[in-house]
Amino acid sequence: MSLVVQTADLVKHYPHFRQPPTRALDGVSVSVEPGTIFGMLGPNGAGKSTFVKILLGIVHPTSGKAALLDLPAGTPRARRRVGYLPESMRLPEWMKPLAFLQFMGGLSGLDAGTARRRAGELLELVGLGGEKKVLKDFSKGMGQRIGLAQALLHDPEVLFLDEPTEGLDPIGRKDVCNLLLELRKRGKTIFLNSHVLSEVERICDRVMIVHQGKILKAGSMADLSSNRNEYRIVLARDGEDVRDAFSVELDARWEPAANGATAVVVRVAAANESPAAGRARLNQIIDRLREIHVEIESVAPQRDSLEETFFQLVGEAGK
Amino acid sequence: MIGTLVRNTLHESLNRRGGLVLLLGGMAIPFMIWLSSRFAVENGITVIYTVGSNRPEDAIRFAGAMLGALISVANDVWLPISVFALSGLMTTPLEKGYLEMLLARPLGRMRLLAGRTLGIILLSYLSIALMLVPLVSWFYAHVSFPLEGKFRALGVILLVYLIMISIMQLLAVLQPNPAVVVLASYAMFVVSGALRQRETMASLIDALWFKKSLEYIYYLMPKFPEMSRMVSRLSGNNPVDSWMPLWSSLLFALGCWVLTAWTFQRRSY
Repeated sequence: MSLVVQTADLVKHYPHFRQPPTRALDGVSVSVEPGTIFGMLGPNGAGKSTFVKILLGIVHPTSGKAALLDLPAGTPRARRRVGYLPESMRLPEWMKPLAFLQFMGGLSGLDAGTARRRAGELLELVGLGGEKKVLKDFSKGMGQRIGLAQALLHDPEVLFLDEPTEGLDPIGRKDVCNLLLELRKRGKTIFLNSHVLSEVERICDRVMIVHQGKILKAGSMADLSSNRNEYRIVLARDGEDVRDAFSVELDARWEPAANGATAVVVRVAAANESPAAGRARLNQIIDRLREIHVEIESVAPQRDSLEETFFQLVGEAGK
Repeated sequence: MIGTLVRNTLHESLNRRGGLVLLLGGMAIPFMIWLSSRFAVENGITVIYTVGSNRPEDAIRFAGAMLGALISVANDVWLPISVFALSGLMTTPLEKGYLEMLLARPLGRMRLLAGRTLGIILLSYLSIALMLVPLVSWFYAHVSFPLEGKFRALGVILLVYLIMISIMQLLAVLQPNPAVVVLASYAMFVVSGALRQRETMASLIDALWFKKSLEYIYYLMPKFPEMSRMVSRLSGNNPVDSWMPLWSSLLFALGCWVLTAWTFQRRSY
């Protein structure tokens, strides 16, 4: 299966007069498989937009290689199969939505008839069907919707969306997220730059966290919302014998649970131990509890949320 | 795709104040002349009456003089107005946020630049055509008079507009701000006017390097006053002393296009 995006040691430095250059990207190597929603996270100025712009040929890299759909990134041929929603989009204020989309369709190589038909369909899809106002009178949310429509106009295989839900109300956000999930079902690959971590956590298959032009961590959502080697075990009863079952473990924190039950959050492995060792120890605990006839209500792995991982990684990198 | 860009530029011009001023203003001048003049045939001779005057004028002489004046207006008055009107159209597609959307489309940067520039050239030529063609047609329907000199003058005007647009395009690519484009373009008019007086300037400072520098700069820069004089002479069916101001200005324009293309192609947005 060929990759949608492949970069190798991508570097972008912005030179400044009599000052050291800004390192927007510093050796970024990424591979993205088709049919996935790939999230890029990072604080402002981390290099997320620069990365996308290099793939689209809007920014020229200082060094490194980038390929988009098996073609050199930035070439018109590669862009033919790509849709893009920029972060701080500026619309031609004098245009009406239908005319704007037809114009963009024309630039994407669609003939006039197809552009008109697609424009109408997409205006309906983003909830702007029948809208006659000029773009100058559009609200931020409406502008974002038309931006999304222009990105989808030529039915691209890959979508690069920079903050697609910015300025949208909660219903609009939900609609966009659902639309992206629907597009993934249809086999589209989506590149999502967002600051809304919950959104990324909800819809992305893979995530890359960048900071100061470097990848801090990349992987599936499961990899990033990492297992802390901790489990929360809810027990039907408490008692000395029960607590003894945990005496040999690394760390156990007792807390009351719902309906009079007792919960214990237990760390089953140290940071340098493998998850397999942790799982083995968890099973030992369960065996001991069952030996003394303690009813186990639930066992749940404790994971870092994406937000916790993000703050932890960025915090460490900033030190 | 270039056609789409040209159409979009013309469409935009009809929806922006600057573009409308250029097109409607171009039409307004001949319309007012048409409104204030009336052809008549007296004793077998075609004459023209103008508002406020009962004395008939010779139609051939009037048409020639009026077209000559209009050609001068197209060059000396309409050119600075065009700079003002076209500056917004030059910079709009280069604005951050919109340019990224355009650059992400499957067309090369040169095509994007060419499409927009062609649209702007077409618009400026359209405004000149709206100013001159209806009036020439109306005059020619009543009297016949020599147009050869006028056509030559018009040819020079079209080249002068091309030179001006090349300068504006370079300025827009370097700094996509309409105010900067207008001010810097007007500065070019001032500089070319000042350079025409280089001998007076050189007489004030008695240094050979200064005189030589002025001379080099003069040959390098576009020469709007000289081209304006050229237009007047051609329009009056007079010979031109030297074509150097025109071709050296065209070379300058060529340099501007090359620099514009190079900058636009290489720049990261």
